[in-house]
Amino acid sequence: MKNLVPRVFVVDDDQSVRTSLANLLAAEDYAVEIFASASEYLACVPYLGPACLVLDVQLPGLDGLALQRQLTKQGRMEKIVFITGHGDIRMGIGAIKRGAVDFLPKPFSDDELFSAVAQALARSAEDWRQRGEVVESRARLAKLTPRELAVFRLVIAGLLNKEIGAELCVTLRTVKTTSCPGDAEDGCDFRGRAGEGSAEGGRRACAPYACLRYHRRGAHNIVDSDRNLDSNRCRSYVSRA
Amino acid sequence: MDTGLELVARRKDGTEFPVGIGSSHIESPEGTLVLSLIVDISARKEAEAQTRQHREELAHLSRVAIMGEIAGSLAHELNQPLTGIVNNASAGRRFIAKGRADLPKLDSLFEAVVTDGRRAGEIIRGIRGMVRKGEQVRGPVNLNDVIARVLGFVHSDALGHHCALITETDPKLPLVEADQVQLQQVFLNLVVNALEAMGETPTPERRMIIRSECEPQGRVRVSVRDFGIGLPLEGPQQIFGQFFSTKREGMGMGLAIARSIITLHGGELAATNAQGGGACVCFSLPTIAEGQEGQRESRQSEEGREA
Repeated sequence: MKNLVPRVFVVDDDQSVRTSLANLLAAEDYAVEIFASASEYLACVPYLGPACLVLDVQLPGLDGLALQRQLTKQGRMEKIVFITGHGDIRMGIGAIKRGAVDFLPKPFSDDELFSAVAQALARSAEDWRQRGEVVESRARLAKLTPRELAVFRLVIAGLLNKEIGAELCVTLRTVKTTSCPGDAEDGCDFRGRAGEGSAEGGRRACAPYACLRYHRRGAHNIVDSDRNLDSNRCRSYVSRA
Repeated sequence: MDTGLELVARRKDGTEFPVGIGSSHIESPEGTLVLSLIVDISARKEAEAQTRQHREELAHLSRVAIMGEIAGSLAHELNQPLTGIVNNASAGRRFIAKGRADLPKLDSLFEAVVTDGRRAGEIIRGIRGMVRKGEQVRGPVNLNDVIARVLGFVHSDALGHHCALITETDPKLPLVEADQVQLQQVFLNLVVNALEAMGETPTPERRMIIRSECEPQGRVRVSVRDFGIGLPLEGPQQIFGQFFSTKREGMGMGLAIARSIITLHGGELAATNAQGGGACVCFSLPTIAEGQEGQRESRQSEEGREA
Protein backbone atom coordinates (compact mmCIF):
# COMPACT_ATOMS: atom_id res chain seq x y z
CA MET A 1 0.00 0.00 0.00
CA LYS A 2 2.88 2.33 0.73
CA ASN A 3 3.74 2.56 -2.95
CA LEU A 4 0.25 3.38 -4.12
CA VAL A 5 -0.28 6.94 -5.33
CA PRO A 6 -3.05 8.93 -3.69
CA ARG A 7 -6.22 8.97 -5.69
CA VAL A 8 -9.22 11.30 -5.75
CA PHE A 9 -12.72 10.05 -6.52
CA VAL A 10 -15.54 12.41 -7.50
CA VAL A 11 -19.21 11.53 -7.18
CA ASP A 12 -21.64 14.14 -8.52
CA ASP A 13 -24.74 13.61 -10.61
CA ASP A 14 -24.24 16.88 -12.48
CA GLN A 15 -22.06 16.26 -15.49
CA SER A 16 -20.56 19.74 -15.70
CA VAL A 17 -19.67 19.82 -12.01
CA ARG A 18 -18.16 16.36 -12.20
CA THR A 19 -15.99 16.93 -15.26
CA SER A 20 -14.94 20.39 -14.13
CA LEU A 21 -13.75 18.89 -10.84
CA ALA A 22 -11.79 16.28 -12.75
CA ASN A 23 -10.18 19.06 -14.84
CA LEU A 24 -9.33 21.07 -11.76
CA LEU A 25 -7.83 18.13 -9.86
CA ALA A 26 -5.89 17.05 -12.95
CA ALA A 27 -4.33 20.52 -13.05
CA GLU A 28 -2.66 19.62 -9.75
CA ASP A 29 -1.63 16.19 -11.04
CA TYR A 30 -4.04 14.18 -8.97
CA ALA A 31 -5.17 10.83 -10.32
CA VAL A 32 -8.95 11.28 -10.59
CA GLU A 33 -11.89 8.99 -11.21
CA ILE A 34 -15.42 10.30 -11.66
CA PHE A 35 -18.79 8.71 -10.94
CA ALA A 36 -22.35 9.88 -11.56
CA SER A 37 -23.96 8.11 -8.62
CA ALA A 38 -23.31 6.53 -5.26
CA SER A 39 -24.15 3.05 -6.52
CA GLU A 40 -21.67 3.44 -9.38
CA TYR A 41 -19.01 4.29 -6.83
CA LEU A 42 -19.90 1.40 -4.55
CA ALA A 43 -19.71 -0.96 -7.51
CA CYS A 44 -16.03 -0.20 -8.07
CA VAL A 45 -13.35 -2.07 -6.17
CA PRO A 46 -12.17 -0.15 -3.07
CA TYR A 47 -8.87 1.57 -3.65
CA LEU A 48 -6.18 0.18 -1.36
CA GLY A 49 -4.22 3.39 -1.00
CA PRO A 50 -4.71 6.91 0.30
CA ALA A 51 -8.01 8.04 -1.15
CA CYS A 52 -10.20 11.12 -1.03
CA LEU A 53 -13.83 11.09 -2.04
CA VAL A 54 -15.24 14.42 -3.24
CA LEU A 55 -18.91 13.74 -2.71
CA ASP A 56 -22.03 15.67 -3.63
CA VAL A 57 -24.63 15.63 -0.84
CA GLN A 58 -27.65 15.51 -3.11
CA LEU A 59 -27.66 12.51 -5.38
CA PRO A 60 -30.50 10.57 -6.91
CA GLY A 61 -31.04 7.24 -5.18
CA LEU A 62 -28.50 6.81 -2.40
CA ASP A 63 -27.51 10.34 -1.36
CA GLY A 64 -24.10 11.52 -0.19
CA LEU A 65 -24.80 11.27 3.54
CA ALA A 66 -26.22 7.76 3.16
CA LEU A 67 -23.17 6.75 1.15
CA GLN A 68 -20.96 8.11 3.93
CA ARG A 69 -22.75 5.95 6.49
CA GLN A 70 -22.44 2.91 4.28
CA LEU A 71 -18.71 3.44 3.71
CA THR A 72 -18.16 3.91 7.43
CA LYS A 73 -20.03 0.69 8.14
CA GLN A 74 -17.80 -1.13 5.68
CA GLY A 75 -14.72 0.30 7.39
CA ARG A 76 -13.56 1.97 4.20
CA MET A 77 -10.44 4.10 4.29
CA GLU A 78 -11.25 6.96 1.91
CA LYS A 79 -11.79 10.34 3.52
CA ILE A 80 -14.73 12.39 2.38
CA VAL A 81 -14.92 16.03 1.29
CA PHE A 82 -18.57 16.98 0.84
CA ILE A 83 -19.70 19.52 -1.71
CA THR A 84 -23.23 20.85 -1.78
CA GLY A 85 -25.45 23.28 -3.58
CA HIS A 86 -27.83 23.76 -0.69
CA GLY A 87 -26.62 22.38 2.52
CA ASP A 88 -27.33 23.88 5.88
CA ILE A 89 -25.20 24.14 8.98
CA ARG A 90 -26.86 21.20 10.70
CA MET A 91 -26.20 18.93 7.75
CA GLY A 92 -22.57 20.08 7.65
CA ILE A 93 -22.02 19.47 11.34
CA GLY A 94 -23.57 16.01 11.08
CA ALA A 95 -21.30 15.09 8.18
CA ILE A 96 -18.17 16.31 9.93
CA LYS A 97 -19.12 14.50 13.14
CA ARG A 98 -19.37 11.30 11.14
CA GLY A 99 -15.82 11.80 9.95
CA ALA A 100 -15.98 13.99 6.85
CA VAL A 101 -12.94 16.20 6.37
CA ASP A 102 -14.78 19.23 5.01
CA PHE A 103 -18.14 20.47 3.80
CA LEU A 104 -17.87 22.94 0.92
CA PRO A 105 -20.82 24.94 -0.39
CA LYS A 106 -20.87 25.35 -4.18
CA PRO A 107 -19.33 27.25 -5.81
CA PHE A 108 -16.13 26.94 -3.77
CA SER A 109 -12.69 28.34 -4.50
CA ASP A 110 -10.01 26.06 -5.87
CA ASP A 111 -7.81 26.74 -2.83
CA GLU A 112 -10.55 25.58 -0.48
CA LEU A 113 -10.96 22.41 -2.47
CA PHE A 114 -7.26 21.63 -2.69
CA SER A 115 -6.65 22.21 0.98
CA ALA A 116 -9.55 19.92 1.86
CA VAL A 117 -8.40 17.24 -0.58
CA ALA A 118 -4.81 17.38 0.68
CA GLN A 119 -6.03 17.05 4.26
CA ALA A 120 -8.28 14.14 3.35
CA LEU A 121 -5.46 12.30 1.57
CA ALA A 122 -3.11 12.89 4.50
CA ARG A 123 -5.68 11.50 6.91
CA SER A 124 -6.36 8.53 4.71
CA ALA A 125 -2.63 7.79 4.42
CA GLU A 126 -2.26 8.04 8.19
CA ASP A 127 -5.15 5.63 8.65
CA TRP A 128 -3.52 3.14 6.31
CA ARG A 129 -0.26 3.43 8.21
CA GLN A 130 -2.02 2.89 11.52
CA ARG A 131 -3.99 -0.01 10.18
CA GLY A 132 -0.71 -1.59 9.07
CA GLU A 133 0.73 -1.19 12.56
CA VAL A 134 -2.35 -2.54 14.24
CA VAL A 135 -2.27 -5.61 12.04
CA GLU A 136 1.40 -6.06 12.83
CA SER A 137 0.86 -5.64 16.56
CA ARG A 138 -2.03 -8.04 16.60
CA ALA A 139 0.11 -10.65 14.89
CA ARG A 140 2.82 -10.22 17.49
CA LEU A 141 0.43 -10.18 20.39
CA ALA A 142 -0.99 -13.45 19.19
CA LYS A 143 2.40 -15.06 19.64
CA LEU A 144 2.62 -14.31 23.37
CA THR A 145 2.12 -17.07 25.94
CA PRO A 146 -0.67 -16.42 28.44
CA ARG A 147 1.84 -15.63 31.16
CA GLU A 148 3.73 -13.19 28.98
CA LEU A 149 0.49 -11.53 28.10
CA ALA A 150 -0.50 -11.17 31.73
CA VAL A 151 2.76 -9.49 32.54
CA PHE A 152 2.55 -7.38 29.43
CA ARG A 153 -0.83 -6.01 30.38
CA LEU A 154 0.53 -4.78 33.66
CA VAL A 155 3.65 -3.39 32.04
CA ILE A 156 1.65 -1.25 29.69
CA ALA A 157 -0.51 -0.20 32.59
CA GLY A 158 2.65 1.45 33.91
CA LEU A 159 3.36 -0.83 36.87
CA LEU A 160 6.87 -1.42 38.17
CA ASN A 161 8.27 -4.93 38.06
CA LYS A 162 7.86 -5.46 41.79
CA GLU A 163 4.31 -4.19 41.66
CA ILE A 164 3.61 -6.64 38.87
CA GLY A 165 5.12 -9.40 40.98
CA ALA A 166 2.85 -8.48 43.88
CA GLU A 167 -0.19 -8.20 41.63
CA LEU A 168 0.36 -11.59 40.01
CA CYS A 169 1.76 -13.26 43.15
CA VAL A 170 5.03 -14.15 41.46
CA THR A 171 8.59 -13.26 42.26
CA LEU A 172 10.40 -10.30 40.83
CA ARG A 173 12.67 -12.69 38.99
CA THR A 174 9.74 -14.37 37.24
CA VAL A 175 8.50 -11.00 36.15
CA LYS A 176 11.90 -10.10 34.80
CA THR A 177 12.42 -13.33 32.90
CA THR A 178 8.93 -13.13 31.47
CA SER A 179 9.24 -9.56 30.34
CA CYS A 180 12.87 -9.77 29.20
CA PRO A 181 13.40 -13.30 28.00
CA GLY A 182 16.86 -14.10 26.73
CA ASP A 183 19.28 -11.36 26.06
CA ALA A 184 17.91 -8.07 27.26
CA GLU A 185 20.65 -6.16 25.54
CA ASP A 186 19.04 -6.41 22.15
CA GLY A 187 16.35 -4.15 23.51
CA CYS A 188 13.55 -6.53 22.59
CA ASP A 189 11.95 -6.52 25.99
CA PHE A 190 8.64 -5.26 27.26
CA ARG A 191 10.16 -2.13 28.55
CA GLY A 192 11.23 -1.24 25.07
CA ARG A 193 14.58 -0.01 26.19
CA ALA A 194 15.40 3.27 24.49
CA GLY A 195 13.19 2.23 21.64
CA GLU A 196 16.01 0.66 19.72
CA GLY A 197 14.45 -2.77 19.32
CA SER A 198 14.33 -4.34 15.93
CA ALA A 199 10.70 -4.55 15.12
CA GLU A 200 11.18 -7.09 12.38
CA GLY A 201 13.51 -9.37 14.31
CA GLY A 202 11.18 -12.31 14.06
CA ARG A 203 11.80 -13.18 17.70
CA ARG A 204 8.76 -13.78 19.74
CA ALA A 205 10.01 -11.45 22.42
CA CYS A 206 9.92 -8.57 19.97
CA ALA A 207 6.17 -8.64 19.89
CA PRO A 208 5.52 -6.80 23.12
CA TYR A 209 7.84 -4.08 22.06
CA ALA A 210 5.72 -3.28 19.06
CA CYS A 211 2.71 -3.31 21.30
CA LEU A 212 4.36 -0.99 23.70
CA ARG A 213 4.68 1.61 21.00
CA TYR A 214 0.93 1.46 21.01
CA HIS A 215 0.57 2.20 24.63
CA ARG A 216 -0.61 5.70 24.12
CA ARG A 217 -2.88 4.79 21.23
CA GLY A 218 -4.88 2.24 23.10
CA ALA A 219 -2.83 -0.92 23.29
CA HIS A 220 -5.11 -1.82 26.18
CA ASN A 221 -7.98 -2.05 23.82
CA ILE A 222 -6.11 -4.30 21.46
CA VAL A 223 -5.02 -6.56 24.30
CA ASP A 224 -8.45 -6.66 25.86
CA SER A 225 -10.39 -7.20 22.71
CA ASP A 226 -8.00 -9.78 21.34
CA ARG A 227 -7.51 -11.90 24.38
CA ASN A 228 -10.29 -10.70 26.58
CA LEU A 229 -8.33 -11.13 29.76
CA ASP A 230 -8.92 -9.50 33.08
CA SER A 231 -6.32 -9.36 35.81
CA ASN A 232 -7.81 -12.28 37.71
CA ARG A 233 -7.45 -14.51 34.75
CA CYS A 234 -3.94 -13.17 34.26
CA ARG A 235 -3.15 -14.16 37.78
CA SER A 236 -4.44 -17.65 37.33
CA TYR A 237 -2.42 -18.13 34.16
CA VAL A 238 0.73 -17.01 35.85
CA SER A 239 0.29 -19.06 38.98
CA ARG A 240 -0.47 -22.14 36.94
CA ALA A 241 2.68 -21.64 34.91
CA MET B 1 -82.58 41.09 -31.24
CA ASP B 2 -79.23 40.39 -32.78
CA THR B 3 -76.53 42.41 -31.09
CA GLY B 4 -73.66 40.20 -32.13
CA LEU B 5 -71.78 42.76 -34.11
CA GLU B 6 -69.10 44.88 -32.50
CA LEU B 7 -67.49 47.68 -34.41
CA VAL B 8 -65.27 50.62 -33.80
CA ALA B 9 -66.93 54.01 -34.19
CA ARG B 10 -65.36 57.41 -34.34
CA ARG B 11 -66.45 60.46 -32.44
CA LYS B 12 -66.57 63.95 -33.85
CA ASP B 13 -63.18 64.71 -32.34
CA GLY B 14 -61.67 61.72 -34.07
CA THR B 15 -61.30 59.40 -31.04
CA GLU B 16 -62.46 55.85 -31.53
CA PHE B 17 -64.72 53.87 -29.26
CA PRO B 18 -66.30 50.41 -29.39
CA VAL B 19 -69.95 50.07 -30.31
CA GLY B 20 -72.35 47.21 -30.45
CA ILE B 21 -74.75 47.16 -33.35
CA GLY B 22 -78.02 45.29 -33.28
CA SER B 23 -81.06 45.24 -35.45
CA SER B 24 -84.43 43.58 -35.49
CA HIS B 25 -87.41 43.82 -37.71
CA ILE B 26 -90.92 44.59 -36.65
CA GLU B 27 -93.86 43.50 -38.80
CA SER B 28 -96.51 46.18 -38.98
CA PRO B 29 -99.48 46.90 -41.26
CA GLU B 30 -97.39 49.44 -43.07
CA GLY B 31 -94.82 46.84 -43.87
CA THR B 32 -91.64 45.68 -42.20
CA LEU B 33 -89.92 48.13 -39.96
CA VAL B 34 -86.31 47.71 -39.04
CA LEU B 35 -85.14 48.81 -35.65
CA SER B 36 -81.44 49.47 -35.49
CA LEU B 37 -79.51 50.13 -32.34
CA ILE B 38 -75.99 51.37 -31.99
CA VAL B 39 -74.81 51.23 -28.40
CA ASP B 40 -71.61 52.61 -26.91
CA ILE B 41 -70.14 49.60 -25.15
CA SER B 42 -66.92 51.17 -23.92
CA ALA B 43 -67.97 50.77 -20.27
CA ARG B 44 -68.60 47.06 -20.70
CA LYS B 45 -65.38 46.63 -22.64
CA GLU B 46 -63.48 48.39 -19.91
CA ALA B 47 -65.00 46.19 -17.24
CA GLU B 48 -64.09 43.11 -19.24
CA ALA B 49 -60.56 44.33 -19.72
CA GLN B 50 -60.31 45.03 -16.01
CA THR B 51 -61.51 41.53 -15.12
CA ARG B 52 -58.98 40.06 -17.48
CA GLN B 53 -56.29 42.23 -15.97
CA HIS B 54 -57.21 41.22 -12.43
CA ARG B 55 -57.20 37.61 -13.43
CA GLU B 56 -53.78 37.98 -14.96
CA GLU B 57 -52.48 39.83 -11.94
CA LEU B 58 -53.73 37.12 -9.66
CA ALA B 59 -52.19 34.46 -11.86
CA HIS B 60 -48.94 36.41 -11.83
CA LEU B 61 -48.97 36.68 -8.04
CA SER B 62 -49.60 32.99 -7.69
CA ARG B 63 -46.81 32.27 -10.16
CA VAL B 64 -44.36 34.44 -8.23
CA ALA B 65 -45.46 32.79 -4.99
CA ILE B 66 -44.79 29.29 -6.25
CA MET B 67 -41.45 30.32 -7.75
CA GLY B 68 -40.65 31.65 -4.28
CA GLU B 69 -41.47 28.28 -2.81
CA ILE B 70 -38.87 26.63 -5.02
CA ALA B 71 -36.30 29.42 -4.72
CA GLY B 72 -33.85 27.12 -2.98
CA SER B 73 -34.08 24.64 -5.81
CA LEU B 74 -33.59 27.39 -8.39
CA ALA B 75 -30.50 28.67 -6.59
CA HIS B 76 -29.12 25.16 -6.60
CA GLU B 77 -29.79 24.70 -10.30
CA LEU B 78 -27.93 27.92 -10.97
CA ASN B 79 -25.10 26.91 -8.71
CA GLN B 80 -24.23 23.85 -10.76
CA PRO B 81 -23.11 25.62 -13.94
CA LEU B 82 -21.48 28.34 -11.84
CA THR B 83 -19.45 25.69 -10.03
CA GLY B 84 -18.48 24.23 -13.39
CA ILE B 85 -17.34 27.65 -14.64
CA VAL B 86 -15.30 28.43 -11.53
CA ASN B 87 -13.66 25.00 -11.54
CA ASN B 88 -12.78 24.99 -15.23
CA ALA B 89 -11.44 28.54 -15.15
CA SER B 90 -9.38 27.73 -12.04
CA ALA B 91 -8.05 24.61 -13.76
CA GLY B 92 -6.99 26.70 -16.75
CA ARG B 93 -5.21 29.22 -14.57
CA ARG B 94 -3.36 26.47 -12.73
CA PHE B 95 -2.25 24.88 -16.01
CA ILE B 96 -0.97 28.29 -17.16
CA ALA B 97 0.80 28.95 -13.86
CA LYS B 98 2.60 25.63 -14.19
CA GLY B 99 3.57 26.31 -17.78
CA ARG B 100 1.68 23.24 -18.95
CA ALA B 101 -1.06 25.01 -20.81
CA ASP B 102 -1.30 23.58 -24.29
CA LEU B 103 -3.86 25.15 -26.57
CA PRO B 104 -6.14 22.12 -27.12
CA LYS B 105 -6.43 21.66 -23.36
CA LEU B 106 -7.28 25.33 -22.79
CA ASP B 107 -9.71 25.22 -25.67
CA SER B 108 -11.61 22.32 -24.12
CA LEU B 109 -11.75 24.15 -20.80
CA PHE B 110 -13.08 27.30 -22.48
CA GLU B 111 -15.63 25.27 -24.34
CA ALA B 112 -16.91 23.85 -21.05
CA VAL B 113 -17.07 27.38 -19.60
CA VAL B 114 -19.13 28.56 -22.57
CA THR B 115 -21.51 25.63 -22.28
CA ASP B 116 -22.01 26.23 -18.55
CA GLY B 117 -22.46 29.96 -19.09
CA ARG B 118 -25.18 29.27 -21.63
CA ARG B 119 -26.82 26.82 -19.28
CA ALA B 120 -26.88 29.42 -16.48
CA GLY B 121 -28.32 31.97 -18.90
CA GLU B 122 -31.02 29.54 -19.92
CA ILE B 123 -32.01 29.00 -16.29
CA ILE B 124 -32.18 32.75 -15.64
CA ARG B 125 -34.30 33.23 -18.77
CA GLY B 126 -36.64 30.52 -17.56
CA ILE B 127 -37.01 32.14 -14.15
CA ARG B 128 -37.54 35.58 -15.64
CA GLY B 129 -40.18 34.23 -17.94
CA MET B 130 -42.06 32.94 -14.93
CA VAL B 131 -41.83 35.99 -12.68
CA ARG B 132 -42.09 38.68 -15.35
CA LYS B 133 -45.35 40.53 -15.44
CA GLY B 134 -46.70 40.51 -18.90
CA GLU B 135 -49.66 40.01 -21.14
CA GLN B 136 -50.28 36.43 -21.95
CA VAL B 137 -48.96 35.37 -25.31
CA ARG B 138 -50.64 32.45 -26.96
CA GLY B 139 -48.89 30.35 -29.51
CA PRO B 140 -48.24 26.74 -30.42
CA VAL B 141 -46.81 24.96 -27.37
CA ASN B 142 -45.34 21.49 -26.98
CA LEU B 143 -46.39 20.21 -23.56
CA ASN B 144 -43.23 18.10 -23.40
CA ASP B 145 -41.24 21.35 -23.38
CA VAL B 146 -43.41 22.62 -20.54
CA ILE B 147 -42.69 19.43 -18.60
CA ALA B 148 -38.95 19.58 -19.30
CA ARG B 149 -38.62 23.20 -18.25
CA VAL B 150 -40.55 22.79 -15.00
CA LEU B 151 -38.69 19.60 -14.06
CA GLY B 152 -35.51 21.59 -14.61
CA PHE B 153 -36.74 24.07 -11.99
CA VAL B 154 -37.61 21.46 -9.38
CA HIS B 155 -34.85 18.95 -10.08
CA SER B 156 -32.91 19.67 -6.92
CA ASP B 157 -36.03 20.04 -4.77
CA ALA B 158 -37.00 16.56 -5.85
CA LEU B 159 -33.52 15.31 -4.93
CA GLY B 160 -33.83 17.03 -1.56
CA HIS B 161 -37.15 15.26 -1.03
CA HIS B 162 -35.53 11.97 -2.11
CA CYS B 163 -38.19 11.73 -4.77
CA ALA B 164 -37.52 10.01 -8.08
CA LEU B 165 -39.02 11.74 -11.12
CA ILE B 166 -40.19 9.28 -13.72
CA THR B 167 -41.21 10.81 -17.05
CA GLU B 168 -43.18 8.92 -19.64
CA THR B 169 -43.68 11.47 -22.38
CA ASP B 170 -45.03 10.86 -25.84
CA PRO B 171 -42.38 12.18 -28.24
CA LYS B 172 -44.99 12.67 -30.98
CA LEU B 173 -47.28 14.83 -28.88
CA PRO B 174 -49.31 17.28 -31.00
CA LEU B 175 -49.03 20.98 -30.18
CA VAL B 176 -51.58 22.97 -28.24
CA GLU B 177 -52.52 26.60 -28.60
CA ALA B 178 -51.59 28.16 -25.29
CA ASP B 179 -49.59 30.57 -23.20
CA GLN B 180 -46.48 28.56 -22.36
CA VAL B 181 -45.71 30.44 -19.14
CA GLN B 182 -49.22 29.85 -17.78
CA LEU B 183 -49.06 26.15 -18.57
CA GLN B 184 -45.69 25.98 -16.84
CA GLN B 185 -47.34 27.61 -13.86
CA VAL B 186 -50.11 25.01 -13.83
CA PHE B 187 -47.71 22.11 -14.18
CA LEU B 188 -45.33 23.54 -11.55
CA ASN B 189 -48.24 23.73 -9.11
CA LEU B 190 -49.05 20.09 -9.69
CA VAL B 191 -45.44 18.99 -9.23
CA VAL B 192 -44.84 21.04 -6.07
CA ASN B 193 -48.10 19.76 -4.57
CA ALA B 194 -47.12 16.19 -5.40
CA LEU B 195 -43.73 16.64 -3.72
CA GLU B 196 -45.36 18.06 -0.62
CA ALA B 197 -47.95 15.31 -0.51
CA MET B 198 -45.14 12.77 -0.15
CA GLY B 199 -43.59 14.26 2.98
CA GLU B 200 -44.71 11.26 5.03
CA THR B 201 -44.11 8.63 2.37
CA PRO B 202 -41.23 6.23 3.16
CA THR B 203 -38.20 7.25 1.12
CA PRO B 204 -37.95 4.26 -1.23
CA GLU B 205 -41.56 4.74 -2.29
CA ARG B 206 -41.29 8.45 -3.02
CA ARG B 207 -41.67 8.84 -6.72
CA MET B 208 -43.65 10.86 -9.19
CA ILE B 209 -44.78 9.62 -12.56
CA ILE B 210 -45.22 12.36 -15.14
CA ARG B 211 -46.92 11.33 -18.32
CA SER B 212 -47.94 13.11 -21.51
CA GLU B 213 -50.17 11.35 -24.01
CA CYS B 214 -52.57 11.77 -26.88
CA GLU B 215 -56.23 11.38 -26.20
CA PRO B 216 -59.00 10.70 -28.69
CA GLN B 217 -60.93 13.67 -30.11
CA GLY B 218 -57.86 15.78 -30.63
CA ARG B 219 -56.81 16.33 -27.04
CA VAL B 220 -53.57 15.88 -25.18
CA ARG B 221 -53.30 14.94 -21.55
CA VAL B 222 -50.61 15.55 -18.97
CA SER B 223 -50.79 13.74 -15.65
CA VAL B 224 -48.82 13.88 -12.43
CA ARG B 225 -49.15 10.84 -10.21
CA ASP B 226 -47.66 10.83 -6.73
CA PHE B 227 -47.49 8.28 -3.93
CA GLY B 228 -48.44 10.64 -1.14
CA ILE B 229 -51.33 11.09 1.23
CA GLY B 230 -53.91 11.33 -1.56
CA LEU B 231 -56.91 13.64 -1.78
CA PRO B 232 -59.29 14.28 1.12
CA LEU B 233 -61.87 11.49 1.02
CA GLU B 234 -64.87 13.67 1.66
CA GLY B 235 -65.05 16.10 -1.22
CA PRO B 236 -61.84 15.51 -3.17
CA GLN B 237 -62.79 18.39 -5.46
CA GLN B 238 -62.40 20.94 -2.66
CA ILE B 239 -58.70 21.10 -3.51
CA PHE B 240 -59.66 23.25 -6.48
CA GLY B 241 -61.58 25.66 -4.28
CA GLN B 242 -60.15 28.99 -3.32
CA PHE B 243 -58.31 29.24 -0.01
CA PHE B 244 -58.03 25.49 0.30
CA SER B 245 -54.56 24.67 1.54
CA THR B 246 -52.79 22.05 3.58
CA LYS B 247 -49.68 24.21 3.84
CA ARG B 248 -49.05 26.52 6.70
CA GLU B 249 -48.03 29.43 4.47
CA GLY B 250 -50.12 28.41 1.49
CA MET B 251 -52.55 30.95 0.07
CA GLY B 252 -54.74 28.17 -1.16
CA MET B 253 -55.02 29.76 -4.57
CA GLY B 254 -52.60 27.65 -6.59
CA LEU B 255 -54.95 24.98 -7.84
CA ALA B 256 -57.94 27.32 -8.13
CA ILE B 257 -55.90 29.54 -10.43
CA ALA B 258 -54.46 26.55 -12.25
CA ARG B 259 -57.96 25.34 -12.97
CA SER B 260 -59.09 28.72 -14.27
CA ILE B 261 -56.04 28.88 -16.54
CA ILE B 262 -56.80 25.47 -17.98
CA THR B 263 -60.48 26.31 -18.40
CA LEU B 264 -59.60 29.50 -20.27
CA HIS B 265 -57.50 27.36 -22.59
CA GLY B 266 -60.54 25.22 -23.34
CA GLY B 267 -59.27 22.32 -21.25
CA GLU B 268 -60.02 20.47 -18.04
CA LEU B 269 -58.11 19.95 -14.82
CA ALA B 270 -59.10 16.97 -12.68
CA ALA B 271 -57.81 15.04 -9.70
CA THR B 272 -58.46 11.52 -8.50
CA ASN B 273 -57.08 9.19 -5.89
CA ALA B 274 -54.92 6.67 -7.70
CA GLN B 275 -55.07 2.93 -7.20
CA GLY B 276 -52.22 1.84 -5.00
CA GLY B 277 -52.12 5.08 -3.05
CA GLY B 278 -51.45 8.70 -3.81
CA ALA B 279 -53.19 11.11 -6.11
CA CYS B 280 -53.23 11.62 -9.84
CA VAL B 281 -53.85 15.14 -11.10
CA CYS B 282 -54.16 15.69 -14.81
CA PHE B 283 -55.16 18.27 -17.34
CA SER B 284 -56.19 17.88 -20.93
CA LEU B 285 -56.15 20.49 -23.65
CA PRO B 286 -57.42 20.65 -27.22
CA THR B 287 -54.68 20.24 -29.80
CA ILE B 288 -54.15 22.39 -32.82
CA ALA B 289 -55.65 20.17 -35.49
CA GLU B 290 -53.91 20.36 -38.84
CA GLY B 291 -56.93 21.84 -40.55
CA GLN B 292 -57.26 24.46 -37.84
CA GLU B 293 -53.83 25.85 -38.45
CA GLY B 294 -55.22 28.47 -40.85
CA GLN B 295 -58.20 29.15 -38.62
CA ARG B 296 -55.89 29.79 -35.72
CA GLU B 297 -53.96 32.37 -37.67
CA SER B 298 -57.10 34.18 -38.78
CA ARG B 299 -58.33 34.26 -35.19
CA GLN B 300 -55.02 35.63 -34.07
CA SER B 301 -55.14 38.42 -36.60
CA GLU B 302 -58.68 39.17 -35.47
CA GLU B 303 -57.42 39.48 -31.90
CA GLY B 304 -54.67 41.67 -33.20
CA ARG B 305 -57.22 43.98 -34.77
CA GLU B 306 -59.20 44.16 -31.59
CA ALA B 307 -56.14 45.09 -29.65
